[in-house]
Amino acid sequence: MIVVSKITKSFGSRLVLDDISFEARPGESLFILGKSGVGKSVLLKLIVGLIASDQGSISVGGQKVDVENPRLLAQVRRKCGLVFQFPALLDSATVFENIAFGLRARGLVEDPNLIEPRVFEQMRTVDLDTSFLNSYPNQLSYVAQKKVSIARTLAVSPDYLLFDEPTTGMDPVATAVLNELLKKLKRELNVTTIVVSHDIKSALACADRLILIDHGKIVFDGEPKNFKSSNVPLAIDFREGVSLGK
Amino acid sequence: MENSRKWVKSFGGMILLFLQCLSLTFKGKTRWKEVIEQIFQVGVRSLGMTITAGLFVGAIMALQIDIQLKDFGAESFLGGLSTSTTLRNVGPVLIAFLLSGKVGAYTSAELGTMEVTEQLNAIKLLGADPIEYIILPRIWAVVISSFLLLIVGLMVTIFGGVMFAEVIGVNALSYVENIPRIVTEWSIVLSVVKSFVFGVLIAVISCYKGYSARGGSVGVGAAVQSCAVTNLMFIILFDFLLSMTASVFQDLFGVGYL
Repeated sequence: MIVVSKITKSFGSRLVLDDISFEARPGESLFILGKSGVGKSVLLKLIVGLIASDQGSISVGGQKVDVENPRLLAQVRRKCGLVFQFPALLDSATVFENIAFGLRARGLVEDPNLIEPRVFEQMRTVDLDTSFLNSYPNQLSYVAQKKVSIARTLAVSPDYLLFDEPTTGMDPVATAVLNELLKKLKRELNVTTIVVSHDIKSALACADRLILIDHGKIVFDGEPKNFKSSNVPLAIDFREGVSLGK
Repeated sequence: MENSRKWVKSFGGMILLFLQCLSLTFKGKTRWKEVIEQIFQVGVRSLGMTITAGLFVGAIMALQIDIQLKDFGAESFLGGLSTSTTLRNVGPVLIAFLLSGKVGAYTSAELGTMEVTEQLNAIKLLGADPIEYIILPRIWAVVISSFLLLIVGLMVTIFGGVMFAEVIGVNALSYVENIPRIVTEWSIVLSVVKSFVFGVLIAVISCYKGYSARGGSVGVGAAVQSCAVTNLMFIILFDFLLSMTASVFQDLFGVGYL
């Protein structure tokens, strides 16, 4: 379980997160929604200890996230897999090397001959053509790069999967594929997933629970069916955004 | 005040990065295969530019010193004076300037892009240390490349001086024969030491500036600009400090310094 307790974070004089508390339960698919720039991505970076909060605490699988303690932080990070908003692939490495990177860095596969099957397995999971194995990221489409990024994260078998705006920059077909992938991961791996997004369609299709953030505060926390009938102004805006988009 | 704080932070950051890389090296964490790949990437591709620049630096020094010597009828000293000045000061500094522009800018831009596109964060989350995996091989590659390129460049400057001596009517043989009369082994030691120190400066400054880039493409641009300015400043500063140290050595131990 991931427990976020009374987290506050400011950048300069700008208060981004104001006393935020929530938890992601085991096996749950939790979507965190909000307008752009509301601090959703900051929340994910706080969870994996890439940045430190001003106040409050976070624990992942019972372990406190402490950016001042590299040993404990490494243990927390071993449990988490974060898929960044943009693919963040190593430009100078091939698809194979990118996906195998975490396996090698964490020493997860003792026999080097077993790395390749693991890489192939992840490529199949994300529906990525294995002919791309020796391609470099700049030779791939954006969607394919994103799939490599997901495969790289899945390869290290994290207990908690965190996605930062997974559908940003993707066309509707690719978004549908990604939504299916999220459902498949939940079905087959049953990992706890936190998805930060402003894509309400994906959220309603895939989430077990939704959290809505506005001006640094949680303004809605509940199941998708409750979200559809919520009177929270931002929830209404999000729903109307969907209906306007139809 | 804000600028002073930033400068102190940056200077401290560069020293810490250098010490961290030294510590990792002594722990045997350097991935030499990657270092060799990076040497090809940043070093070999700069060879042509270094040779071209070296030839012209040697020629310019020969020309300028010849103009001065003619006034005193002392053209026979051209080979020694020109080579000594080139080896001790002008050669290492000018070639280091060029390398800071090519190798330094390339390295800081590459690392800056990796930082702002979250590649370095991804490495951290996958259980690796970006300093060990990305920075350390680049630091050593730039140190080794810059040092070797500076040495090659300095040798070419001598050749450039000899070639141009013929053009301005000084016999090449007498030019070469005059070199050992003024250039001592200490001139060469000072030149090699400067080359190594400039190589380390270019490597550490370029890697630090790239690694500390923030804020998208604007941040990368600012990092490269800051890298260029800092490299030039530190090369001049260390040239002065090393020359002063050599001068003190001359006074204390009577070693050959012209």
